[in-house]
Order: sequence, then C-alpha cells, then structure tokens
Amino acid sequence: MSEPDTHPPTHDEQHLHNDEELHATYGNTKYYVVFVALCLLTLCSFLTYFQWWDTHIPSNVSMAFMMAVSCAKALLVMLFFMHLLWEANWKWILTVPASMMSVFLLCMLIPDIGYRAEHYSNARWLHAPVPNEEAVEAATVEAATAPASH
Amino acid sequence: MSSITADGQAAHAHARNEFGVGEFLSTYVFSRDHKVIGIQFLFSTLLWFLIGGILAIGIRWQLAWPWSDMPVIGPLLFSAEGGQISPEFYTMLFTMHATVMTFLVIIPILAGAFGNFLIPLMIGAEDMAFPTLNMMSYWMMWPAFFFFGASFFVAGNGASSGWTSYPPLSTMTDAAPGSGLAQTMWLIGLTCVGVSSMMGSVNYLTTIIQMRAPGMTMMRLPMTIWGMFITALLQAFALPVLTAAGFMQLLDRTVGTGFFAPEGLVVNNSAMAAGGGQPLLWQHLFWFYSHPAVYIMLLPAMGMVSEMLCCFSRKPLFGYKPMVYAICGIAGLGFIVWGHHMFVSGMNPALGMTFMVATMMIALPSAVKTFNWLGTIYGGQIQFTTPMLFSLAFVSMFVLGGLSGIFMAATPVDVFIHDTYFIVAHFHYVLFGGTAMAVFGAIYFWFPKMFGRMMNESLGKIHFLLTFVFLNGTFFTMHILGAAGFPRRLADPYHYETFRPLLPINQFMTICAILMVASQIFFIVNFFYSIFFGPKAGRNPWHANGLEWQAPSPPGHGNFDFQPIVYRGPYEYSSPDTEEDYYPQTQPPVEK
Amino acid sequence: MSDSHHEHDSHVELEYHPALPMSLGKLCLWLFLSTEIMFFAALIGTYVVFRFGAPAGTWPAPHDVYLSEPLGAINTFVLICSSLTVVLSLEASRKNNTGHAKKWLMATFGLGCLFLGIKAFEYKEKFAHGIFPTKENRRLYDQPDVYYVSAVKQKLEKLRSEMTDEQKQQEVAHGLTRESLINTLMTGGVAHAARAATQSDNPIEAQAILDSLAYAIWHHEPSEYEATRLRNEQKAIKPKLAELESKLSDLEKQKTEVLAKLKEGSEGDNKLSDDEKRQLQVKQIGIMQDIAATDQDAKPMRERLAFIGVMLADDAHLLNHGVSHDQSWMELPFVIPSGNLWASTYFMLTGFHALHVVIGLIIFGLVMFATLDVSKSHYLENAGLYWHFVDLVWIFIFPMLYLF
Repeated sequence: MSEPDTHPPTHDEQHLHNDEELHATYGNTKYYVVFVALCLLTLCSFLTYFQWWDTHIPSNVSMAFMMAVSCAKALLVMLFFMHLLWEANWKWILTVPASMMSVFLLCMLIPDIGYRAEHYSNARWLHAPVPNEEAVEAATVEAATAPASH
Repeated sequence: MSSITADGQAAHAHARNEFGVGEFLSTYVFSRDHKVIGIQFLFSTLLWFLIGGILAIGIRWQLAWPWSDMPVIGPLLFSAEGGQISPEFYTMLFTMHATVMTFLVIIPILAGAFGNFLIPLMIGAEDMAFPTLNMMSYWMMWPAFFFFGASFFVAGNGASSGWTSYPPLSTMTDAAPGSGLAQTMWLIGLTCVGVSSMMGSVNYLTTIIQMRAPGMTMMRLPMTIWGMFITALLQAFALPVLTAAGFMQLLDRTVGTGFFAPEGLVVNNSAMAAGGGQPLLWQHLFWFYSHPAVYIMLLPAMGMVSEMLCCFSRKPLFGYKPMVYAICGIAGLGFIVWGHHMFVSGMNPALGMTFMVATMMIALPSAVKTFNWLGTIYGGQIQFTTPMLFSLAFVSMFVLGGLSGIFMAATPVDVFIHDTYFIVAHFHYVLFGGTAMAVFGAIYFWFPKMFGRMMNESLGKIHFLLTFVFLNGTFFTMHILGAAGFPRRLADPYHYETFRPLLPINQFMTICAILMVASQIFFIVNFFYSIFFGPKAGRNPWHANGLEWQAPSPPGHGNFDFQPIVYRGPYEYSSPDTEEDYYPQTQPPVEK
Repeated sequence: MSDSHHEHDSHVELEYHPALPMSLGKLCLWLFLSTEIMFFAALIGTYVVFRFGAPAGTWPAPHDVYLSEPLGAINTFVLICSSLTVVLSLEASRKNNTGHAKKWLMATFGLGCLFLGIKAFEYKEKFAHGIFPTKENRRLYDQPDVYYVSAVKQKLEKLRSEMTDEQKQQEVAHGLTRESLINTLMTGGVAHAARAATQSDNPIEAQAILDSLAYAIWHHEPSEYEATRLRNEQKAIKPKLAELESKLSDLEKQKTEVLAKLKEGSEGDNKLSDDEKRQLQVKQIGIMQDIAATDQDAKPMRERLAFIGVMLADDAHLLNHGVSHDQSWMELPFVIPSGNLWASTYFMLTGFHALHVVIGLIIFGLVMFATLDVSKSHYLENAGLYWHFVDLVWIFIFPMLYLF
C-alpha cells in the first residue's frame, strides 16, 4: 500500500551532467602520475620472476603479494582512468554486487573442484579401467613375436 | 557493442503517406518499437509453446503406451522408426521439451514479450532506452530458433543429454546419436539466447532506472515492473556465467579442451578425451545461472498476478513494500542456493548443508508474497473475469508447487525423491501451474492494450476451466508416481517389475495431458478471432490505475499522447478520495 | 493493429525522472561491464580452482610450457600505456582539441595492435611446440599410459612410412640416421614399454616403465634418477645378454660341427649310414630351434640395449634433453602433467581476453577517421571505459598465468 501522495511531485533538478565533470580538476598530470604508479607496480610483481625472489620468498607470500599488487593496480585504473573517484554513489551499486557474486561463485567452487586433488590421488591411476585391447595390441605388435622377458 | 553506438534517444518516426515494402519491414519486421518487438516475441514464443507441448505429448505417449505406434504425430515426426518412439528419440524428446519450454518459451515470453511491451508503457516512457539494441535482442533469438529447431533434423537425432547438458555425456561426441552435431548446435543456440537476454536485460535496467515519468518513484512502480527489474538484474548477473560455461563446453566438444572431461575417462574401452577437468564444475556453473533462472521464470509472473489480483479485487495491494522486499529477497537468496540441484551429484556434503539452509529460507519471502496476495483479495469485491481466474489459479498452484519444493530442499528427503516424478511434478506446478497460468491471465488482461480489442470472456472461461482441471489431472498424479519412486528420464520404466502397477496412472495422466493441449484450441481460436473481430476496447477497459491504461489502445508510436505525471502508487483502488473505485496514477488529486 | 500507428500523428516529447546523474549510454555500459565481470569471474574462477586443485606439483611452471614472463610483462606495460593514451584522448576531445584526441586515439589503436601482435607471437611459440588442446592426433598427454604409448607408436610408424629415401639416410646424431633412430625408439623404447608395462604384475613397476619412456621423450628438467635407472638397466641386461650370446655362439659352433659331419658323411670315404644321418639331421634341427629361441630371447635385450645406448650416448645427451626437444622434427607426443588443463585454461583466458581487445579495436576503429570534438566525447568515454575494463582483466590474468 503506497502512501497516497496528495502533493504533485516536485520536479527535481535534472542532474544529467556528470558529477565528474564538476569535480574533476582539468589537467592531465594526475593521469601521468597514475601511469607511472601502474608501471612501478607492474615492475614490483615482475620481481617475482627473478631467481633471488624465488629462493627468498615463500610462494604463498609471493602469490598474496602479487594479488595485492593486482588489486592496487585495478583500484588505480578504476578510480582514475575510469573516473570512479569522481562519480556519485551509484558506482557501488553497480560494481559491488557483481564483485561479491563473483567471489561467492569462486568460494563455492573450491570445495568440489579446488580440493579435487585431495580425493583424486595419484594412486587412482593404478586402478584405472582396463586398457583398450586395440590400443594394447597396437602397442605390443612387436612384443607378440617375442616371448616374455620375465 | 551497440550499447555504445546506440543513441540514447528513442527515435521519432513520422507518419508516412506511402506504405511500401521498406516501411512494412521497418514497422512490423525490423521494428525498433518496443510494442511491436514485444508482440513479435509473443507470437514466436507461443508458436514454440505449441511445439514444446507436442514434444511433451510424445513423452507422455511413450510412458502410457510404451513401444506402441503413436497416431498422427508418430508417422509425422519419426516415420523412420515406424511411428514407434525409440529410446534415443525419447531422450531427445524430454531434452528438447525442457529446452524449448525454458529457453524459447517461458524466459522470452516473460522478459521478451511482456517485459518489452509493458515496461515503457507502465513507467511512462515513449520507448526503451535503446530501441536498436532491443530489436537486436529479438533478432538474436532467431539464430537460437534456427539452431534449436535444426538440431532436430541433423545426424539422426536431436540433442539428447537433457536440458541440463551434463558432462561427460554431453562432452563426448560419440555418446549417443544426438551428441554429435546436434549437441553442438544446442550449445550455440543456448549462447544466442544468452546474448539476447543480456542485451535485453541491460536495456530494461537502463530504461527502468532512467526513463520513468516524473513522479514515478521506485516505490510507486507497479509490481510487474519490480518483477521485470529484478529479473533483469538476475539475468545480467547470472547469465554470463552460463554463457562462459557454454563456451567451455563448446570448446570441450570441438577443440578438445578438458574443462569438464574427467581424467582418464574410458568409454567403450577407449580413452575418450584429453581430460583433467571436472564434470561437477559444469553442474556448478550451470546451476549458478539456472537456479536464478527459476526466479527469472517466476518473478515477472508474480508481478503481473499482483497487478491482476488488485484490479479485480478492487482493493489496494496488501503490503506493497513487503512485496517489493520479498521479490528482492527471493532474488538475493536465489543466487546462493543453486547447490540444491546437486545434492546427489557427489558434491561436498558441507556445501549441501549450506545450500539446504539457504534454500529453506526462500520459503520466507515466498510466504510473504502468498499471504499478501490472500490479504489483497480478502474482503474485496472480486470480479471473476478470465484474467482473475488465471491469477487465482496461479496463487493456488504456486502454493502447491512451492510446498513440494520444500521436500526437495531437505537433503535427506531429496536423496529419496531425486530424479523421480516428484521433482517433475514440483517444477511443472511452479512453471506450468504457476508461470504459464499467469501468462495466460496476462494475455487476457493486456490483450486490449496490445491489439485494441477485447478477448471473448466465455471462451476464456472455458479455456481456463479445462486447462485448470487437466493441469491438475496431469501434474498432481506425478506426485503419487514420484513418491512411489517412478524414475524420470527413462524411456521404459516398466522394464522394472516395481513400476508396472503404475501404468494405469500414467495412462490417466497422458489422457489429461492430451486434453490439456487440446483445450488450448479455445485459446488459439479466441486469440486470433479477437485480434480481428473482438469488440473494440477503450483506453481503460478494466478500470485499472496503471499508466499503460491511460495510453490509447493500442498505443501509437511514442506511446503517450500527453505528458504522464504520476501522483500516486498504482494500486489505489476504492480510494475514499475519489468517487470512482479506481484512481489512475496520472489523475491529479482533488483539491480540498 | 495496423491502423494504430496512424492514429496519433503528434508526438509528445516526454519528460523523465532519471534516478542517476548519467547518460543512458554510460549507465548501459556500466551494466554491461557488470555482466562482463561475471563472465570473466566464471572463466578466471575456473582457472583458479583448476590451478590450485591440480595434484600437488603437477601444474606446469611457465618455462615448462614455453611461457615467457618478460613478454607477459611487456604486454602488461603495453596495455597500461594504451589505457593512458585513451584517457588522454578523452580529455583532449573534451577540450575540443581534435588533433590531440586523434593522435592519442591512434596511439591507443597502435598499442592494442601491438598487444595482439605479441599475443600472436606467444601463441605461435606454443603451437610450434605442440602445446594446445586438440581433439584428434594430439601431442599433449596428461600422463604416461598405454594410450600415450600407442600414440607414440602411431606417430613413429607414420614418420617411418612417410620418409623419403634421402631423409632416411640423413644423419641426426653421431652415427645415427633418421631411420635407425626411429627403429631404435620403436623397438627398444615403445615396444619394450608396452610389453613390459602390460605384462608386469606390479602396477608401480609398470608405471615406472611408462614414466621412463615419457621422460626419455620429453621432460621439464633432467633428473639423475632416470639416467641412473637406465644405466642400471643397462648393467643388468648386459650380463644376461652376454650369457645368451655365448650360448648362441656355442649353439652356432655345434651347428657348424653337425653340418660339417653331415657334409663329411655324405661324400667322403666314411660314409654315414642312413640311420646316423637321420640322427644328425634331427640334432641339427634341434640346434636350429634352440638358436631361434635364444635369438628370440636376445633380440628384445639387444634392442633395449641399443635404445639405452642411444639415450646414454654423449654423456646421456639425448636422455637429458629429451628426444622431442633434441629431435624436434619428429613431433612426438609428449607428457606434461596437468598440461591439457593448463593449455585449456591458458588459451581460454587469453583467447577471450584477446577477443575483447579485438572488439575494443573495432570500437576505436569506428571513430578513428571522424572529427573527435566534444560531441564525440561521450562515445570516447564509453569506449574508454570498456577499454579500461579489458585492461583490468589483463591486470589479473597476467600474474595468475605468468607469475604464479
């Protein structure tokens, strides 16, 4: 039951111009700064390529480090290049649910697929189904002429 | 990428003096007008509805009179088998019945037909935000129609790994007669539906967010629009996952990737595929879309039913805000419950528990909706028109279908009834008893707006009565079968001694099903007769409040011949402020 | 309904009550980007769970699959540059500076093409080494099993039948022609592995034999274990073979003796009686059968020794490098554990990303030759948003695929 509104609606001022156009300071310096920061961050994650990193940093830490770097880069791109820093609150409505859902999807995949190696040990291979007779025949055509070596 | 190039303004077509082939094409075929596109969707989906129904009769025939020649349809469809349904053909029948009904009927008829037709009219816009994108979303359905339709005829058999297309059956090209080219075409068709729905949903969302008439606040939106809005959100967020999964399965089949093929899969004594992947991954990704899809198939119907119940009870909607929150709640919960389709798939039991609890919680918002519908009609001056009858049927059938859903939600019970006819009964109650009834009601309700003429009430009531009776005859008995363990997707369950006593029940169901399809003749006749010869409807034949009823019937290009300004919510029936028992949204309040 | 369209000729310009302070196109694009987030979430999620769920230690390291980290880093840099240029182009067009806008847009387009070029080079590298998912006649196998052995055999047979006489005599290693290499691999390698693995009662030993063959053909890093294994086998076979060879030479001696006796007896003075002759002939036949049987036993050992000899020659050069690597013309099937899944996910992720890059380039291409004044700034803004999103996806794909 919606409230009967006895007053005619007031026509809101039509804010069709971008907030960003209001708030953004003109000038491209900030883009160059962000660009340099992105390059430095890329360099950071590339550090893991070198030998001494491999020997000194555990791989878990290095993965976490790289993901942190990636997130920082993503944040920089979104805030500055995609102008989200200067946008109104709608940016959260549009981006946060999708991000949450994708994280949730990933989390729900972990128990079944992410842990599959826990259940699928290598020993499974030793009990693999009986090999195809044709394939074995094809492979042992030479062997058929010779008696077993043991 | 038309989302970028499409101009944000609805185009203004001017009245033309000459009406050549070009004008005909641009007005009726490649139209950018949302009403024409909606009607195009309506006709296409109704045609597929008929095809899907015929496929269902094939299934029913085999279960009632197994391995006997099928009259009329048999020689027509599978003369090669001599009128008898082969097991492979039976598999194809249930696969394609479900595929057609889900992807080509229910989803496009709700979002495509009614979404397109109603959204701009109900929010007071002249058209969709992106008319060209809208047109493309309809024409993307045609490749889907083509691929699904043609898959019947290629390489011996249609796609036959179930509408869920579970691997490894679906990823192995030699698994069954239909798993060669037909299955690939099935996947391509699915992708086309996905792209079409994606285009549609971003368009609907933009339109609803940005193009509401002055005064039409979010809390004054009709429930139909709320249903469409949330549905579009569900489609936008869930569908890309299915599209991605579909691409992966397509790659598995054509290129030889191993996403869904398990390691060392050996079939018929030969290694099937370069594997390494997990069949369970497909199930997760598939149900991540297809469970929200259940709500995509239901929420707009719920909205439309709320509309009709209010109008014909002449009462305001009981609890508008709770209804809105309930829709949002159903949608939100709908995203985190997909695992309940996989309780017996070998899924991690810890996940099963999580999904079970979340699933049970959906009962809460659903109950809110049901009680509010009952509250709406309670004490109202009920007019038993055809749309109202269908709406009442929707509510009762939805309660039945919803309650049987709770059985399935509980893991221990599900282990027993999984893949029996109990689940078939459940989703037919929700989708046919629920959504299809709401769709019929909505067609009767908005027909005057679509075509400017009324449908015949008597024929409509006969149609309702027969459909309702045979619907319950067909689907209620499925519960009994399911409780007896009668398995689904089996060409000949009577192979097992246990199920032989169930044959008479199946024959009863088949007779009901055939009669149910046959009673649609009343609808078809009524529909086409009324388009041309029905009595002319005025702007507001039902004395309803919505904006669409203030537009001409049928609305011209641009929809409104005045600037609609909204003063109140859409359900102000029997308001004390006005002498009439309805109070249109656009009517300025009386000065006191 | 046909008459409806002519009923109302006058159109009312409708007013709306927009909820968000942005243009329709931009809102639609952001919604589209949210759907894209979900699309890539499914793809990247698939990769992540496969990558970390792979049996311990089997996921190939970048250099195992010829993946170059520096190239990936360069590509990242290229995309970051293109993100900068597109935003500069947008700013220029907002200031109605059409010249600059066009210049920066051209730069973006060029950088996008450069990205695709580097990507194509990377793909070529993988294709050249046979690392890609294939349905039939694939080279990439996940584990050494009988199907793998059978595939190697088929490939070798194909090579043998398709070689010209000239190629057959071509020397591929010291004292080794193509033909002899193929024959050695065929007999001492493939046939031995198939025979030994299928006839062994011990599944672990059978697996070790198949592993050994797969190692000889392709491996990530040389392992001392496999070389030692072959040396030990060589040591074990040699005395057995020597025994058989001495037995064989004994038999040969006996045979020549018998033959000599027979020859003597048939002509000279001390002519043998028919009875004695028959006895000798029976003896000869017996010896001949023994020779054949011993030879049968010795043949696989000789072949195996020849194979091991080839493998261990030149300080185990061929074994340590892998036949597939050293003799790349053979294009033999090879085993990379979890390799098929790696290839599947790599090509899927980068492929769909590249597809998005191509679409972005088309979008830029559409306005390349138009005047980029203020009126085009909305188009540029939307195109730029899309392009930044493509960049974002790469920002996550790069460390996951190349550096993890």
